[in-house]
Amino acid sequence: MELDFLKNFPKRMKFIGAYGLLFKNSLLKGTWKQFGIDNIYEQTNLIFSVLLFIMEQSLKDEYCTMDDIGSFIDTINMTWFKKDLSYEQCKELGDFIVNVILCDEGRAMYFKGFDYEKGEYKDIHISFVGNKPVYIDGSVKRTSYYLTDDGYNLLLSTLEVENNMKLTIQEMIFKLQLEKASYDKAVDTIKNIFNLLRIQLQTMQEAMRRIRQNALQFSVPEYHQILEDNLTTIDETRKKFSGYKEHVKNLVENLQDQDIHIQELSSKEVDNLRCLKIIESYINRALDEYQKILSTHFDLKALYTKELESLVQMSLIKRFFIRNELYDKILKEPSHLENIDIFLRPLFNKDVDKIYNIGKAFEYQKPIRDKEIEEEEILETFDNEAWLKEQQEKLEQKLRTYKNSLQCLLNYVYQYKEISLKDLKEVISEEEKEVLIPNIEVFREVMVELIRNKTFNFYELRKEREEHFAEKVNSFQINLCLLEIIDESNKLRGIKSLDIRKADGDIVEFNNVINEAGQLKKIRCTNIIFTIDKEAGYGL
Amino acid sequence: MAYEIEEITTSQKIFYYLLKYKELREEEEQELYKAYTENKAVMNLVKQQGEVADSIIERYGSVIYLIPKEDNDFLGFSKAQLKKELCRSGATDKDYYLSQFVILTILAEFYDGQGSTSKTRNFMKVGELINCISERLKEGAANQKEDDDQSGLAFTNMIEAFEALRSDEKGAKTKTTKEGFIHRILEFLQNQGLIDYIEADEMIKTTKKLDHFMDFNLLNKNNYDRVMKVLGVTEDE
Repeated sequence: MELDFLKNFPKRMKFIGAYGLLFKNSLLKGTWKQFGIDNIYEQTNLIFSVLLFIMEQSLKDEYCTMDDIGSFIDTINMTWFKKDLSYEQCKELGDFIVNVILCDEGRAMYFKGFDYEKGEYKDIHISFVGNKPVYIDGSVKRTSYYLTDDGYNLLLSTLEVENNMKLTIQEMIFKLQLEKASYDKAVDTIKNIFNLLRIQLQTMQEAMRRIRQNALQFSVPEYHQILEDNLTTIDETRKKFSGYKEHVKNLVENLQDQDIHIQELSSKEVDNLRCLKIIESYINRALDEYQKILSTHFDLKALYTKELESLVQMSLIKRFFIRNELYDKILKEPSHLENIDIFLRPLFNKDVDKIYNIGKAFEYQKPIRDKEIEEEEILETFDNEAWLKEQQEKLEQKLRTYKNSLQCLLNYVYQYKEISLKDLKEVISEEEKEVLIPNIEVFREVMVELIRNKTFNFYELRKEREEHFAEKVNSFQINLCLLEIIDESNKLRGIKSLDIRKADGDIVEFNNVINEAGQLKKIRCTNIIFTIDKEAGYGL
Repeated sequence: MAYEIEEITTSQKIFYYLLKYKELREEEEQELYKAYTENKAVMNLVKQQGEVADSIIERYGSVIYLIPKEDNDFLGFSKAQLKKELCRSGATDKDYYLSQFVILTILAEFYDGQGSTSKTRNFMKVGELINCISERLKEGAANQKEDDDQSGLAFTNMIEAFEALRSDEKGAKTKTTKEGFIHRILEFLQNQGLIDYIEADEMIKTTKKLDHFMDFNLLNKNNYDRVMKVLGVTEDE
């Protein structure tokens, strides 16, 4: 009887074995009950959702820590499954699903497949999820999980097709969709193609990581498989995608030309244009990914050769079994532990003792600045935003004192139309005096600014402000401040201009005015006369 | 055999580098690495210096390691020094032997393989390690009852020491918890570059260095005499 159909049986078994191991790891576990999940369908749905989540993160090249997985489970549980689980429990559940079920607590997983060509069972290695240490925000060391090649195969076979065929079939679909102008569907397909390319790249990166860790763990058939997949991809992708790129580019340009010349596209055409643009961007990204695959392909080859070369001298080493030869014997006779350090010592290096050089004593002694540096660092870690906000508040407070002082002055000038500082001093109440002169420094600045400008024409200032000032100013600007005051007040809005001139000879004295340092002082200043011009119809 | 002065200097540089950093990686010190791998004279000189310093210089993969010999207390750890590193102050011998047992258990769990590499696990969680140790200790104690307690060192004692440590649900790593005890050992192994210990996820992963050491050195049949020494078997047996 011809038994050709049994060829490649282990390959099929690898595929089936993946499901087999998954269900074996999941079904017999009592832990599920803790989370109120009893049925196999509930377990399976959850496991595959988590796997999909890890795939999504892997495809996006983003970290996937247990916290992320926990939050994901929490989200889907809150929305759909509605089990009574807290966030912490969701994290535990994620830990259980990933580390216990998918990784078998870190043990390497094998499924025995019968090899009809050799007539014996063959161990087929299967792993769904791998993990690696990563530093989050550059400091916190965490474990990040990612999908392995087997994991990808398992998941893709749930919706897509098997490995080598995947790209080709997706491409065929893509081509058909382009021809039929069903661009919205073509967008999905090109996304899939892009993902497949990315998976290919990640498979290689993972292989390189494993070779670096331990080249002996990486088998020759595996290496062969990866290279073959690569070559097929490299061979076909570039030519086709360059073709697509041109084609899509032309389509986009045609539509855009139409848009310019005939003014308007129908809504369907606008949609098409949008889709085509997405497709174009994905084709470009796919080509980028292709470039990376190409270079990684050579890196991988070089790395594997190199690692193998450096290990070749070691390949003849014969090993004994730690468990049989040592561990079990110690379990029988603990007194052997007394000398176990003989076995372990080669692993450990002690730091060599330091030697004190007496000459150090004669060096110029500088204080050790560790502490100060530490303090500086603490200052730097202060919340930048809060600090800015505080500074902003201080500034606003200061500007308000200027404004109040000016407002107080304007009110009196408005009332009298023309008033000198000397007269003002006579009529002003004690309370208002504090507003007018909050402290010496502010008062001086206000007066100096007023005198320096001599005259303010508010009509022109307003025009100028409209034309020039777009940004908010952060310091005292007398023009703007005056404008603000008269614009805000119904009474003062009628002021057309303000004139300031010095009155010869007279000196005005203000007693008991504080300065910024809080000391009481007497100010003596020249007398100034303020005059305003009001619009007709306003007061007077 | 005559050596060039340059070769001697290079070999001394390599040896001093090794004293400082315990290992020399190709990607970090290309020139020295190249000199060692490509110039037989340099390699011999370095190895010779290692011999004088009671150590072995070996290259595994693309890293050159300085490996102190078993009885080298200057570059390696003596029992007392190891105890100081692994156990809290005031620890008894029971604690020390327990710590040795913990390390051995980690190795036995990870390197139980028979294929082209001895490594069989990708990771182990701290919780599992603690359970594993408890179980193995009990197993050992069960063995012991049969031929009575003859030596001072017994698993029953170690179980007592281990179980006397509290187990903290939240994994508080104070001195008196199992987690704290294990934590100290794992930190030590991590500082020695042997494992990746990810505290936040309670994850233990082995490093390339440990993989190499186990495959090429510790479990190498050529070094089986160490095991014989540990087991107290004399050579002529």
